[in-house]
Amino acid sequence: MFNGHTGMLFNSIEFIFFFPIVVLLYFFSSHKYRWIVLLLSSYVFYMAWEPAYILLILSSTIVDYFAARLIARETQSRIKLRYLLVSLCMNLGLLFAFKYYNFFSDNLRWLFSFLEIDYSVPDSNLLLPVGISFYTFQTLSYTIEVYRGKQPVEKHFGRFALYVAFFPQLVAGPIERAWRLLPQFKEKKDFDYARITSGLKLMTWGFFKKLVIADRLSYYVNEVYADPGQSNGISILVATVFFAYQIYCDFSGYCDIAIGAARVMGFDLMQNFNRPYYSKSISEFWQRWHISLSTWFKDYVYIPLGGNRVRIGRWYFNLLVVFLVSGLWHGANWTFVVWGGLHGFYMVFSHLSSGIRTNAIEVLGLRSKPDLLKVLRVFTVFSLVCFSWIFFRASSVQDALTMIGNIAGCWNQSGSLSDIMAAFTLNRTVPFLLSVISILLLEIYHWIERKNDFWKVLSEQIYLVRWSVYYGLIFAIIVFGVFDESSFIYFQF
Amino acid sequence: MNKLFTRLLFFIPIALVVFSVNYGIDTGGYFNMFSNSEKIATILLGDKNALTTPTFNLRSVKRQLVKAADKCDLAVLGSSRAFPIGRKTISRNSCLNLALPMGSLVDYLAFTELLINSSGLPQEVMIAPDFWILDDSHKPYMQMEEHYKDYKRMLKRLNLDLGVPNASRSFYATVLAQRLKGAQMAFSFVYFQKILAKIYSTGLTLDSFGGNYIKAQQTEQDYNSKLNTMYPDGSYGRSTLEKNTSTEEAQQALMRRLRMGSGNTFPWFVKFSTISETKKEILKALLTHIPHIEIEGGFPFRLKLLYYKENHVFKR
Repeated sequence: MFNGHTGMLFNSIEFIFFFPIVVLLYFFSSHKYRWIVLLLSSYVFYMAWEPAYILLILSSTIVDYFAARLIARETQSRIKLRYLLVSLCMNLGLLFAFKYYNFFSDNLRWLFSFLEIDYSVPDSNLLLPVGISFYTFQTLSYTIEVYRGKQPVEKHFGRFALYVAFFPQLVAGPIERAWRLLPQFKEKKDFDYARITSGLKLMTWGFFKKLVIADRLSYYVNEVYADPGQSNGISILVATVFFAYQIYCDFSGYCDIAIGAARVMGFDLMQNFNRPYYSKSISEFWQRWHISLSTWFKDYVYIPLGGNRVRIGRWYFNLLVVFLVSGLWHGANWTFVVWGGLHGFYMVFSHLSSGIRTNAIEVLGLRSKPDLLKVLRVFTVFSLVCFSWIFFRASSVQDALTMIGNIAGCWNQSGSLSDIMAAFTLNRTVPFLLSVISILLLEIYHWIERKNDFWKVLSEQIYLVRWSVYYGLIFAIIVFGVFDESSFIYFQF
Repeated sequence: MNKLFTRLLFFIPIALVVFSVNYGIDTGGYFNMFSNSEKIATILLGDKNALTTPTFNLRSVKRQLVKAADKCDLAVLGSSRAFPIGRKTISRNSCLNLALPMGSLVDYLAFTELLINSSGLPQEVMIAPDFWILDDSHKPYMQMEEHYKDYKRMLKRLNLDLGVPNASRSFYATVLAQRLKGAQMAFSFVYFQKILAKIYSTGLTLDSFGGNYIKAQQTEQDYNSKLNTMYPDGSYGRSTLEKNTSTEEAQQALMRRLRMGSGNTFPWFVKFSTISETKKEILKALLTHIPHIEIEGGFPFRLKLLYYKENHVFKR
């Protein structure tokens, strides 16, 4: 984990006081000075985790600000490239030092031991700064786009610093692009009742997803994944499905709070999730899951490698590289690499098997049953994604393989109905049912969102219905929410 | 902006519901500290055990006991390590355990004076001191010293009258901490959930209100309870005793706790000249009431020998 401090999480009492104060200061200050209010607030927000690490953000900010200005001023592409490389080396170097060094040294140590080389590789005691993976990618996208000539350079240091450190999306995204966010800091934002209430509603929904759904599911998941060897195959299966919802609600909940908080102040952040578990293919899944990261990798890794405009073998290679790197971005552990690799494999296999699958659909007559076909596709993609989550969640590759073995073995086991129910519920029926009900509520929300904006639909209802929903959400958070200030899963990335 | 503030006011009923449940039902006793102490003392004086709330104040309960109880044969002073000392563990017919969490010299003096002014000083006073009570260099334990003046000012504003001349600083700290905790608890969602869970499991009865969730039990014949139980002699059973522990095993466990607390592994001698002036005064005052304290011969533990002699070295 990053530094052992809980910092100022969105679900902390400090944030409950911090946010309204910042919003009031923001709206009561003159437009000319609002960037100062936001920048200082963002630094205070970040320093709540570890004050010293503000120096890291400042370093990235200063280096990238000047690198971009020098790139924009320079005409020779060779020298522009040098400035870009300085920015890349600085940012990725810091990322490597804080996040990947120990992973690298552990593997080097293993390799030396395997080759019987007597060399001791030193360890690092540096704590992982929260959000480093996010703000590093955000600021890198700026310098790269300036280099490509697609992004005008930002001369106002304060606004650029705010783009790097904007607190709603600083620690876990969405990873914003400069062309979207920077111009918004120049616009004057008036107090808009409709926009503010929309932001607050989104934040409330985010808190519901995080505190009521994700954190409740985590009890079940943590118990099963803590002891993979002893866990029953059915429990592991249930825990994996629960984890799929836990990580979705945790991360998308955070993003909703971030987007809602930014919206209150008048800023529009990009959507990061779009009902990913309704995807009908892995490719579609990655257009709906962590959209800001997948587009980042597409624009700055996949396309520079050639994308799909290369020979087929090279295309598959590109896909695998992108997903392996994406896996590694999530964490310095082989489990994440395997998780990423699996998704890369899914993409490649999906293309390789497309002909066979098309034929199978024709043979089975599924073409004439589009709804059934859709359900089968969604179910298949969800199953494949859940399988990969086993590696993502497990502590080690070995644990993940043990759990897969237990799942495979559970079909051969006999047991009474009560044994099976005990395996499902871990002998805690009420919490299990609460978790299932909360997932059902989430799916009802998603069902409505298929065709309409849920909040727009709600706003068209009568007063009693609207306020019943608002009160119901808040009471659900108060009564069923988990308030142990558990951090968000994606903070560790 | 007025419309927004007006709409936000619609959520005040939710805050009021949370506050009403937390303050009104208050199963944890955060808002009824002193009245709960009297209730617990009444139960104990009836020769019954009491299952206590998480927030009960030991000092307050034990003061009530001292004021109301008859003169006993033995009073025990000390810190939390001395909690289990009672009639059973030291085989006495009449005993009053006045040990407190982080109990120190000033607590010993406070209770000694209270005993003198109430039922009278017992024939024997047993002190189970922790090694740090004379050692000012042990800063983490002594950190409350520097806040003493602030606590006194705060308590004057809170109109608390302890009625004990040299009340313990740690008690001031405890009261202050509990007041602050109470304010926090008033709107705590976690506390609200715990109260709802309690109502779900035990039902909402009149006993649930006002932190009255204190159950009296019959006196137990053995110490096989794992709950936070206070016994009629003032001893306090923490979850250190396993089920089916014999009295002998309990006594041995107690001995280990006391030895650990009394610095059995530390070279425990103190030069009188290094003790702070405040502590010297307290020690002198204590020893005027208890001129000398002897080692309890043999069983069940060894006390530290304290002889007051000017400029003398205190040693084990």
